[in-house]
Formats: sequence, structure tokens, C-alpha cells
Amino acid sequence: MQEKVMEFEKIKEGDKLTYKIKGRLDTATSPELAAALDLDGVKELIFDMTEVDYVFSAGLRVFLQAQKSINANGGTMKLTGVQPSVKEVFNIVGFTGIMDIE
Amino acid sequence: MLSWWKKWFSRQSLTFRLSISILTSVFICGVGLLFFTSQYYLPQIRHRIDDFAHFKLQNEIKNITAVVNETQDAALTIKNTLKELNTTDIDLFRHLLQSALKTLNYDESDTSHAWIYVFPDGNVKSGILYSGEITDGDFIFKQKKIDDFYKIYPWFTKVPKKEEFFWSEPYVDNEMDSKPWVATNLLPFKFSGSDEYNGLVAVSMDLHELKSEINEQTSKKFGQSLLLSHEGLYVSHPDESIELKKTIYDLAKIYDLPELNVVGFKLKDGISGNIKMDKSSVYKKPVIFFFAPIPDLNWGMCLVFSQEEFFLPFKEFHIKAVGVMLAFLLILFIFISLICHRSTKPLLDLSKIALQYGKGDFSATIPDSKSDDEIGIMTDAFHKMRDNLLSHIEMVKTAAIDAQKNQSELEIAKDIQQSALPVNFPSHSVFEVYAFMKPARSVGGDFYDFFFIDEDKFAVLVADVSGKGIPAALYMMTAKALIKNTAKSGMKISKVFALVNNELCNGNLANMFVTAFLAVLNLKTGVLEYVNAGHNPPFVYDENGYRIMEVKRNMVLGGLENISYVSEQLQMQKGQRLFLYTDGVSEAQNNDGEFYGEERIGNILRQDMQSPRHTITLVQNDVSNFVAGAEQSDDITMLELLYCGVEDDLLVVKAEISSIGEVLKTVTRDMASKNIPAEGQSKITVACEEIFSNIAQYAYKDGGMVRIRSAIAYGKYLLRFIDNGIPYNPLEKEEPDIKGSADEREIGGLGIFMVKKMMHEVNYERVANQNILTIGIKL
Repeated sequence: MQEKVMEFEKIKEGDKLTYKIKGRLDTATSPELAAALDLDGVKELIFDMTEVDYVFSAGLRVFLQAQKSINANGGTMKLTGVQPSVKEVFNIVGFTGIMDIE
Repeated sequence: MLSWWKKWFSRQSLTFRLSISILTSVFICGVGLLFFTSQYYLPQIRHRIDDFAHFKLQNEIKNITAVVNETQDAALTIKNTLKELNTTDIDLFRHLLQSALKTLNYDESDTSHAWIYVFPDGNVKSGILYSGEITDGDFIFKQKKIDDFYKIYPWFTKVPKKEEFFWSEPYVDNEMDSKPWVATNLLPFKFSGSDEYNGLVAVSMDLHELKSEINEQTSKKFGQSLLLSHEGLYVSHPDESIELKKTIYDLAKIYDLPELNVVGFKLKDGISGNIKMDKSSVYKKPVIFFFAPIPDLNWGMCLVFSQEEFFLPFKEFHIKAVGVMLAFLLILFIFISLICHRSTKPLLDLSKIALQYGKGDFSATIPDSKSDDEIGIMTDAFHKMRDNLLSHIEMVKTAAIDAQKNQSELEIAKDIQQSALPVNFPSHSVFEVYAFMKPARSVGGDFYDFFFIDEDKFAVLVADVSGKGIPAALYMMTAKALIKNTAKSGMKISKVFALVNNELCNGNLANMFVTAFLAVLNLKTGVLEYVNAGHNPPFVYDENGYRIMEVKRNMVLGGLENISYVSEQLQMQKGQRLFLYTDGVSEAQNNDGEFYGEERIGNILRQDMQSPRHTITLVQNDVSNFVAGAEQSDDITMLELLYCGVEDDLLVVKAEISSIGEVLKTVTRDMASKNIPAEGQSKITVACEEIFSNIAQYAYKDGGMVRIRSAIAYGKYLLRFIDNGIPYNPLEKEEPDIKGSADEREIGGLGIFMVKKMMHEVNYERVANQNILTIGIKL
């Protein structure tokens, strides 16, 4: 039995796209989010991280890929409501310098 | 001052010193010679000058005397004629006077005067004066009746009435038209048959004539002539304003020269001599007055020489001599400089070459010696020195290369030996191990070892090879490899030693042997099995403290073939320690020859309850303090094993990504039960996910299991992942660049990097075909 450890909600308003994520972004769950990212024409991408407990390197890869894509679009990406333990992970790999994290 | 001069002088060049020495010597000789000659010749010169002055004085006196005699002769002739007669015939008188004047050897320009004064009645005061004079070659005769003769010639009073010549003082003859200065010679006469004096014959001497006579004689260069009358009046003096006006006594007063008075008096008394006079207003330099009386006339003649005048030639000689000497010294100096330069140049060249040689530059060639002198000998010596040096250097070079080779070989041997000793002490939740080896020489015979036999068995070993140096090192390498390889087969350790012993005995020509202590800890049960091959028993620590372990001593390894070894067992308790060492520790000697001894080891161990690393450092320092700089005679080797207790098996799961949830849940539960702080929990969770997903993705091609264990040891929470997959050390992965912009960043490689950053301990071991990865976090 597999319990649902990660789920997300996708809210699109014009060229603004918001993902509201819950749970844990690990090696198993991250590809799900990566697959769901549809950034065509998106100028403003927001990940609401308020309910994210853990982000592992697989999750980090998703965010880096997203950042690259949104940069290509000429848009902006923002992570909101990041928990301190999660923020430290971003900090360790140097993502706080290249991403807009709140 | 003298020492300073000596110091300075000794620093100068040879040329300078030689020149100064020789020139000074020659100069002193020259001056000495001059001084000697002057001391020797001065009195002689003085003497000769006296002679010369006297001669000159007498010569002048002679000249004057000639004039005086002439005058006197003229008077005498007249007197003698009158003596034969008794007449006052005027013609006779004229004739007498004329012929008398003619006998005087005067120049035509001179005037001369003679007269006959007749006082028939004996009354001197009045009479008849018959006067004859020659002026400009003409004879003039006068006859004159005189009432008072003293009126005409005041000095007449002084004329004695004797038939003797009397000379008057100089006076102006007013009877003559030219009124010349004269001195007159008087001679009283008596007519034939007369008893009384009847008159006087007088012949005057023209002083002008006399002066010219003197001036002719007086050399203007040398000395002054002075003519003094009987009363000291200057008749002749270089200063004409004084002549016939001042007496010597006047000048004595004017110039404050009392010596002049002496001269005057002496001359008046008819005494000759000389007198020195210091410089005065009239004589600017000291002078000598030579003086002598003029006979008949009773006047005096003086010659004045300045002393300097005497010695002027001598002085000139001195100046010239010094000049010649200086010129000579200059020439000598040039010669000495040239000779010195010629002699010292090869020396300077040689010294330059010597300096070059000193720097190791042998390119400079030594000039060939041209002579057999000292320089030549030295040059030859230099040639020999160069050859000897070159061959010596060659020799030393070869020796150095050999030594270097030997040394570097030894160094390599040492490195190989040292690298054979493991220094990566494994972190394990069940045990902790630390070891140390310090060889006595560059290569030693001691060694230690530790290794996993399988995932549950950890072996430690301490051994000591008999002998030292390269042979011992070689034997040690063999023994170490043999023991490790044999032990890793997993067979019973008594059997391991039996096998190793036979192997070591095989072809052991050097009769070497090894003492060894091998112990294997079962990580699951905590049972320690050990075997001792002639090694000193270890210390063991339990709740009662450290004590020497009672172990069976078996035969050493490599001593005798086919020996059976007996192993023993000890159930280790949590926190129990095993301290292994070689006799290099217990037999370390200080300068007094004292041994360190087991007792000291025991004492130091009792103080320590921390990590094995700390124990060994403590013993090591204590041994160092004890030997206090004495040379280390034997290798020092120590190893301590600490048993921490058995690990908890958390779970065994399939190595799949889908297992992540279960793994994280189990680990989180374990951490909660062990009261790991929240911050540590989240870090472990992140690291655990990364490690596990790494193993799940890469360890197996066809699927497999991962065993996860946890433990708390040495203040750390440790998590161990064990798999049987392909050998793979994720820690060797290159670290990603985390400084670039989003577009430059690589997507992968972040997981292991995060683990390394977040964990206090990350360790990988490959043991018994298993990958064992341990992560840990300090509590």
C-alpha cells in the first residue's frame, strides 16, 4: 500500500501559474510534479510551499528545471511559505542565490 | 692610537705597506746622515770661518798699515833730513815737502798734505808753518807765521813731545782748499845740534783714500768692514751718514748694544778678538764682531758677519740635500710600486680564481707559473689544488648521489611500509579503533592492522618482527599480507596462525620470526576471539579498570613449522577496551637506561576513559616525556579497540524508489525512540532519503535488498546502509558547482553533496562484497 505523501494543486490565472504543494518532494514523488509542470507562456510561476515538509535532491532538480524554463520564458519564479528546514536544504545547495524564496 | 695605527696599517695593501716601510727607513737614514754631517762639520766650519775672518781682517789691516807706513815713512824722511841740518831755508822746506808728498802713492785725483812746523824758541804755540799740498797734481807751497797753533789744530795739545810718531784723530783739514777729512801723522824733530825739539813734521793721510782702500777689500757679499779711530770714531762704515760723525760708543747707546762699548775699549787697548751679538734693531740677525787693532795707527778694524751668513751655504746644502732625497724617495716609491705590483698581481689573480673556485666555478684557468720564486710555487700549488679539488668534488658527488639513492630507497621503503599500515579508522557503531606506529629507524619491524573479515567480524592485529631495518621491513610486509589474507578467508584464527606460521617458516633463511596478537570481534555477539603468538599480553579494560589480560602464549610465527596455536574467547561488555602494544612501548628507555615498563602503561590507561585515539595519544606523550630525548631504540606500536555494543537492525527492504516511504517512516520512528532532536531528525531524514534513493537507483541491476542499522555511539546517531550490490562509493562523486546562475547549474549531483554538507560523519567501506555506507550526526 502506498500512502499519498505528496500532492499539489495547480491554479492558472492568465500567464500566472501557482502550484500549491503538500507533503514531501522525494525521489519517488518529485517526477510527478516535474511531469505536471506545464510552463508554456507562463510569465509568473509561484510554488506555494507552506505545506511542504521535505524537499530532497529530486525535488530540488524539479525547481532548478522550472527556474531554467521560466528564465527562458522571460518570466519570474517564486517559492512562498518555505519552512526553515526546507530553506536550509535550498541554502546548502546554493539555490537561495538563484531563486526567489520567501 | 698606536694600536689603531697598527690595525689600519695592517689593512693596507702590500704595496703601500712596503713602500711606506722602505721610504720611511730611507728617509730616516738620510736625515740621520745629514744630522751627523752637520754635527761633524759644523765646528770645523765655525773654525774655518774664524780663520777666514781673521785672515780677512789682517789683510785689511795690512793694507791700511801700508798706507800708514807710507805716511809715516814720508814724515820720517823729512825728519831725518831736518835732523842733519840746522836751517830754516824755505826752499829746502819746499823741496822736502814736495819730495815727501811725491813718495806717497796717491792717485792723481787725491789730495795730500804735509807740513813742517818750526817753533825756534821752544814755544810750541807760535811758530812758522811750512805747508805743502798736492791738489789735482799741482804742488802748492805756503809759508805762514802762526800765533796760536792750537787754534788751527785743536788736537795738537795731545801731541807728546817725544821723537815718536803720533797719529791724530780724524779731522777736517781747514788749511787745505778741498777741506778733506784726514788723519795726520806727527813726528817732532830737533835740528842738528839742538837739545830742544824745534818743530814737527806732519803728513796727513786722506781718509777718503783710506776708505776706498777698505771698500776695495770689503766683499759686499760677505761681512761688513768697520774702521774705527783710536777714540772709536767710525772712519769707515757701510752707512756713510755715520762715518766721521758717530763713535762706536754713540752707536752702543743708540742701539742699546753694550757689546759695542766692549769692542771700542778693547781696540783702544790694542786687543783683538771676537764677540757674538744677538739680533738687535741694527743687526736683524745674530752677528759676530771680529776686531783687531791696527798697529802704529792705534785704530781698530772690525769685520761683522751674521751667523746666518756663515751658514748660508751650509743651509743651502741642506735644502738641496733634502730636495735630492725627496726626489730619490719618489723614484724609489715608483720602483717599489712597480716591483710590488708585478709581484702581487699574480697573487691577486690567484685570489680571484680562488674566490671563483670557492663558488664552484672551475672555468677560470690558472696562469702558468713563469718563475721558480714563491709566486711560482704558489701557482703550482694552485694547479694541484684545482686538480685535487675537482677529483675530490667528483668523488663527493658520486658519494652524495649514492647516499641520496640509498636514502631515497630507504625513504621509499619507509613510505611503502607506512602506507601498508591502515590509517582510515572505521567509524562503526559497535566498536571504535585507533592505532599508532613510530619506527625507531626509517624502516621498522613493528606493524598493526585492522580489517573486516565480513560484515560482522572485525579483526585487529599487532605484531613485532625480530630484527630491524630493511630485512625486518620485508619480513613484516610478508607477514602482514599473509595474516590479513589468511584471516579474511574467515577460518578460525588459531588455524590462521598455524597456516601463516608454516608459510613464514618456509624458506626463512634469515631465521626471522614474528610475535603477533590477533583478535576478532564479532559485531553481532560482542565475542572477542584472540590468539597470541609469543606477543606480550595486552591490557584489557572493564568495569574494574585496566589489567593485563591473562592469555596463553603460543609459539612465535616463523620460528618452527607445524605448530598448533590455541585461541581464546572473551565476551566483551559494552564499553570494554583492549589495548595492544609492542615491547617498544614497555621497553622504551630513558637516558638513565630505565625502562618505561608495563606499570606505567597501566597507570596512564587508568586515567583515560575517552576514545581510543585519546588513550593512545596519552600513552604516546607519556613515553616521550619519559625517554626525554633519548634515542628511540625500538619501534613503538599501539592499538586500542573499544567495544560499544551491538547495533539495532532497523529493517531490510527492497532497493527500490518505492521503498523510500517505508524507510523514512522506520528511521523517523527510530530517531523518535532514541530522542534525537528535531533539527537532527530532519537532517538525517534528508540524508537518509538521498543515500537510500542512491542505492535504489545504482546498487543493483536486477534488484536486491538494503539492510539499514542504527546505533548511538561516541555521541553520534549513526545510520548504516548495507547492500550486496556492485562496488560503488558515492562519496567519490565530484562535487557540483553551487555558485553558478540557474542556467549554468547542473540538474544532478546534488544529493550526495547535501549529505556531505549536512552529516557529521559519512563513511564508505567495502567489506566482504558489501557496500557499507555510514552516516552520522552529532548529538
